[in-house]
Amino acid sequence: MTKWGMTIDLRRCMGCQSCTMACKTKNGTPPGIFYRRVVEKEFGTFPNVHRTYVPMNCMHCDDPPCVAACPAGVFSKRPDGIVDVDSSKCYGARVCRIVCPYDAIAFIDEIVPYGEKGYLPPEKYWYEKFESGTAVKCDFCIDRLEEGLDPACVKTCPSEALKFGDLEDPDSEVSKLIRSRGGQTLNPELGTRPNVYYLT
Amino acid sequence: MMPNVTDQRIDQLSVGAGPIPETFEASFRGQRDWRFWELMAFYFGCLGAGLYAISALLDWRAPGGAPRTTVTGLIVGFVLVIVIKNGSHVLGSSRPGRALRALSQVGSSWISRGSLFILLFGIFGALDVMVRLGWIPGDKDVLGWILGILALLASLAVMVYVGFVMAQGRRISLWHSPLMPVIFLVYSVVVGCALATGIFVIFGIAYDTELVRVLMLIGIPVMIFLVLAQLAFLGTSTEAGRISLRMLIRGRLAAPYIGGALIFGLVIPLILTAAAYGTSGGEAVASVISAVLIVIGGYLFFSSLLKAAVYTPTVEPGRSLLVNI
Amino acid sequence: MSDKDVKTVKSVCYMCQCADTGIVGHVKDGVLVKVEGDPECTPTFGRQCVKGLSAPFVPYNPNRVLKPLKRTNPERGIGIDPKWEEISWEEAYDIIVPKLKECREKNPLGLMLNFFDYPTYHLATPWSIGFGGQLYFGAATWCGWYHNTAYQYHLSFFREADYEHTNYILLWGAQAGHIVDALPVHSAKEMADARARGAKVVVIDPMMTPAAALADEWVPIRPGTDLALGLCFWNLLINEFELYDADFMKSKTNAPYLVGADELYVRDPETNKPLIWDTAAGKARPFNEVATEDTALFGEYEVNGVKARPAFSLLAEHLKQYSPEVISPITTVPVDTIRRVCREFGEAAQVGSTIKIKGVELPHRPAVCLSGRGPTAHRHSMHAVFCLEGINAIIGNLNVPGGTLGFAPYYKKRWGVTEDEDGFALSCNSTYFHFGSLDTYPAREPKKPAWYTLLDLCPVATFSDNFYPMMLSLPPEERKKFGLDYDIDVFISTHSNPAVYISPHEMTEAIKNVKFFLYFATEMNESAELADVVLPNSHWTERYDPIANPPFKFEAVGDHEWYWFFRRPMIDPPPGVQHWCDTMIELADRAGFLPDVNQLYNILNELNGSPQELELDKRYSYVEMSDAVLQNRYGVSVDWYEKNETQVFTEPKDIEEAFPGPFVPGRCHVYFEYWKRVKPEVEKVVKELGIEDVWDTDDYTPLLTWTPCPAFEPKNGFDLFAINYKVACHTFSHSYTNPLELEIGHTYPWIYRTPIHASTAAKYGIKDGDEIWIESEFGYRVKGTAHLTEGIHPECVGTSGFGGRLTRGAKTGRKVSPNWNTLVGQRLDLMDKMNSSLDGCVRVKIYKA
Repeated sequence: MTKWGMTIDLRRCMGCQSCTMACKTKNGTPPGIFYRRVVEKEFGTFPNVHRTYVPMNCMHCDDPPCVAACPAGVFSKRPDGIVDVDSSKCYGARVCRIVCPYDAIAFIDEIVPYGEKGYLPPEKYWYEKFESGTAVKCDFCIDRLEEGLDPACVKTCPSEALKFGDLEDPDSEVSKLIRSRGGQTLNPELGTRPNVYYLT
Repeated sequence: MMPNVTDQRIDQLSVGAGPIPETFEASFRGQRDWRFWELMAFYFGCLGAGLYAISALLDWRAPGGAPRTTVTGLIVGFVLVIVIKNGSHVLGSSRPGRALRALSQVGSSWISRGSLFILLFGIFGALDVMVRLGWIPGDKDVLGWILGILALLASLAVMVYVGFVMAQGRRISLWHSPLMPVIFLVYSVVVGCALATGIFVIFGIAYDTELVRVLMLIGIPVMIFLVLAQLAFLGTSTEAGRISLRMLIRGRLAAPYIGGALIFGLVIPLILTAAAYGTSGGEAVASVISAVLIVIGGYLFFSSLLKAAVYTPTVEPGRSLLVNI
Repeated sequence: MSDKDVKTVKSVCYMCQCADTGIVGHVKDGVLVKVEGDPECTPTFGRQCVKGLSAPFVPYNPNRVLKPLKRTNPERGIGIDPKWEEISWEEAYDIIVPKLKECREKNPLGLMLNFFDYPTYHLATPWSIGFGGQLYFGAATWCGWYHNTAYQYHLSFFREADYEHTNYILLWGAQAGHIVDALPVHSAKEMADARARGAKVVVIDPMMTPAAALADEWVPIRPGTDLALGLCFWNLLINEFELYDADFMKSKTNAPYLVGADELYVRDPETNKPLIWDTAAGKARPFNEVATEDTALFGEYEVNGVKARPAFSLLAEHLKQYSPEVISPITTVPVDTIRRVCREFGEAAQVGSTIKIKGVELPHRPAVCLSGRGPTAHRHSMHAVFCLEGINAIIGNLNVPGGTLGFAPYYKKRWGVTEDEDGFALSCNSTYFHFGSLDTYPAREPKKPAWYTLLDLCPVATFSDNFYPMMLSLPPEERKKFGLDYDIDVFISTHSNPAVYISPHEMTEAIKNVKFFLYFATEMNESAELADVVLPNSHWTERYDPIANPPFKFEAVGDHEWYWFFRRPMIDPPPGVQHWCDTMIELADRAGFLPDVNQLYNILNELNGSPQELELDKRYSYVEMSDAVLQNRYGVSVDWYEKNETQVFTEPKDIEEAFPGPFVPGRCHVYFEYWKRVKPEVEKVVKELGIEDVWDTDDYTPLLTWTPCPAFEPKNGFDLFAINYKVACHTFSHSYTNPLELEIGHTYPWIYRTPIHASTAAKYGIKDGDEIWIESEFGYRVKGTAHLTEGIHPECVGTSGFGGRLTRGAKTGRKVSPNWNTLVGQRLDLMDKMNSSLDGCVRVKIYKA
């Protein structure tokens, strides 16, 4: 059985947000709606300072709080590990955003144009599948997976900080990386058992 | 050097940067998903369910053959829950057409369970009121008692479930606490008593003042204890919890929370109620003042609870994997 | 988006100048809806950076220019409405063509063509020279100074690290390999791989850029003092640690050349060749007759009756003044840090080691130093660039594995390298490819300047473009002093935003001195708003560029295949809009000088005598002309790309092409005798012109020397520096009108805000998020939002990228971030007279808005 997962190499990530942009343009999300993002954090004092970039998307938890908390059944855990989202069921309780420990869920209050004088031509195609007042999030690009492609963010990352694959397969690149680099999940104490591993 | 004309034009064009989208910031941020309508729903839910439960008890304790005046409380409580609370939920929902989906995940979701409780409350409560009003026969029969108890239980569930919903927020230390359901239960009883007192005294409805007073003299100290316990736990929880604590006791929420909800909403009513105990005349005035203070204090309490909710950043120094980078 | 209706088109990204990645455009109903990296484009790993991904929104800019426009408001300036009148193409030609004819009759030099569009250099250059006009190649005026060294050190215009074989990467005010430099995508992967392999990265920069944030060590430095630290590195590597590559010094540089008391070479009386002391023979012999092991680097000898010393010994002695103890207070870098980093770097170079690649034994110098704009855009830029890039020469890493490699200096070995009579390598790149840059050696003959760029006064510069805005801003009588006794009658600009090159305040005034300004615009911008006529131009997503990555520009270095990119339109241009080069051909045809353009095209692209030679009287399209070069130079054609439905043509690269260092003849300079030699000639011209008061020649010294910038000492309370750095999500002003890039930019705390060190902010009573004014010593100010951080030198306030737009046309991008250029003073006394670099040290003060 396949179990999809991701590794994010914090030593390779340069914080360029190409993944964020690839995600936006692949999914065609409206302004302000991000399925993924890069959070940065500064540590230390001058001149011994560091800034770490932490790319984040839906962690596709094994114990996903969104699936449990959503009253409308918007989220579901698929057998392949993906936490799927069906926004057409969403009525806007927004409890998913309260319970998700990773800020992975975006809520479309209203679809507004990027263009300063109205919708730009690509936007008309982009927003076809969205409705305002619903929650949306990363689905590991299920449509791309079905075509045998990696998610858009993984595919575009210039420094190859993101890797995607089958966590059940001990020979997959992600499994090997998690073993060899001691992959860790973000905030494991919250008990959500994410399937996105960070390599440090 | 004085700027020339071009400079002034450039000055005008020169404006500071806009805000950073909050989820991109690795810093503490407040909860902003649940605001006015959720506050309305939670507050009137507690108020309505509390009023209903108190009125049900009072109605049962009413001497046989006396006018069933306290049924008014039942009706007001029922309307607060079914109309105001539900209405707020619907108004706060972005896609009200799908609101019935809220009942679809009773197995896992506390909101779904809450919706079910409200539905059951709606059914049992309506039947219970009708029985007590005599529109349906069976008052003081087995059926009446069963309906009454079911409606009472449903009202208690309506009070408590919000606590469970809020306690799921793992990154909000203020909410992520086993005390939450208890707080909602006790506060609902306290504000229910207060509202009942207010309504009954003002409209001259006869009721068992003794029972209400006893409930309040027990409920208010328990509630004060719970508030203090929650603040104490916050101080020892996470950094986000301590930020919430600071907001509540020193920040811009200190006035509504400590001043409004705790002192004016609980402590002073407790003193007034205790002091007026057994006096005649003063007692009614004291209970109305207390009732008003408690009802306003309850609103300030729930509003502070929503506003002081602070998320722990997803990426925080000293936590989990970022320690060693 | 249902994928069934989506058509895919392979093309090449052009969001920045790099043409770095093969892309696939997704087009639905004629609308570009998505761009992604082409997984089949192996040279760039099928990846795509943040900028290119945002391409779909660019051609649909709401302020796109779709019709020719004519100005009706005679008053020009930033923020002033030009009161455009839409005109037809015929009307536009009727305005422009007579101006061209008139200018050509009167004085063709009165035409200035300004463009920063690499794929079209092969045509735009012959166009302008065929007209008889002058050229300005640049976009902004700040970057590219290291190109002055590249033809000598790397035999190419660009250079990049050989990340694959290097172990130590010193980024000096640079972010190479971090999605902002040349080859952003390719280098990012290679840099990440190198780091994963254990390569150490050290970044010297006043700002903790993403490169510095990720580096093993960030060394903050006071702006403008990099030259001092660089010379200290030379000193330590040569004198204290002795970690220089002596064999390289002896055989590939002029270090052993004997120098007399006059600081010039001592030459052989018979052959006139510079001499080297032969330790075996015990006498001086011509440089080409001495074996490396017998070459003396030190000592003092009597030659031809004069006392002579190897240049290297003079250099070593000269460098002793730059000890860490002296340099530390200048740069604010602690003494220990200087010593430690320099020693690590020198030791990492493994001088003397070799590596076997594909069976060939090669020198292995796995340490690189890459310098960027900040350290080199200064008053003494020429010394700074040769010093910082020269660190690579000291350890002998030029064009060898693990070191710094030029972009395609040795393609098919026919773009070969030759050796001149003094033994120096001559790269044929510049003469061969005329891409706006010249060899910096040998020195050209200084003359009374013909062009506004004063190139004739800069005999050792690869370009001197910065003098053009300076000259343009002078009143005619002032300008005459520099020999420029004519006006710019026709100024044509495209793919460039001259109104905001340097100081928008001052450039706006300068452009008013142009008699007729024609601007090719895709969208309204600051420059278009100053133009007399604006012609619409197709966007890169709508155009063919058969030579998308011209050689010596953007081509991955090292052990990879050669690849040549072909850009094809992903979508149709709006009706009536065409490639600006086709419009230029039309203009040349109408103004009657097309045969001259064709002739120059044949000459400059070496088509003469080839089957692809253009007929002079025939009119060709831009694509046809490009095709001729494609076929002649690479043996590939437009048809080949179209037939194969691809955007990339690859050829195998052998080891000699990949690492030409050991295989090419010729030496490079560590002692700049030719500067000294040309100095009197420059002085003569300067004296003839009578500009000695404003044109000093002090920097023409053979030994690299630290001289502080004018802004080194704070004055009048202006005690901070405003610094500027690139960011991954922006390139050039145009990216500030792309809502997607702006949205990404907003997600960083430090890109649109103004980073200030927390202690500095405290001193000024500024809190995080405060609106502040940044006011420069030149009387200009700009507003920013304070971002308190530890990641910036305490003497600096940071600004990123281009910053906020100043155009009336677009609301988008206007209210974003401080535009650093608006703080700058455009002053001749702040410029390097050798290469025209303007000093980027801007002293400012800050206060609450």
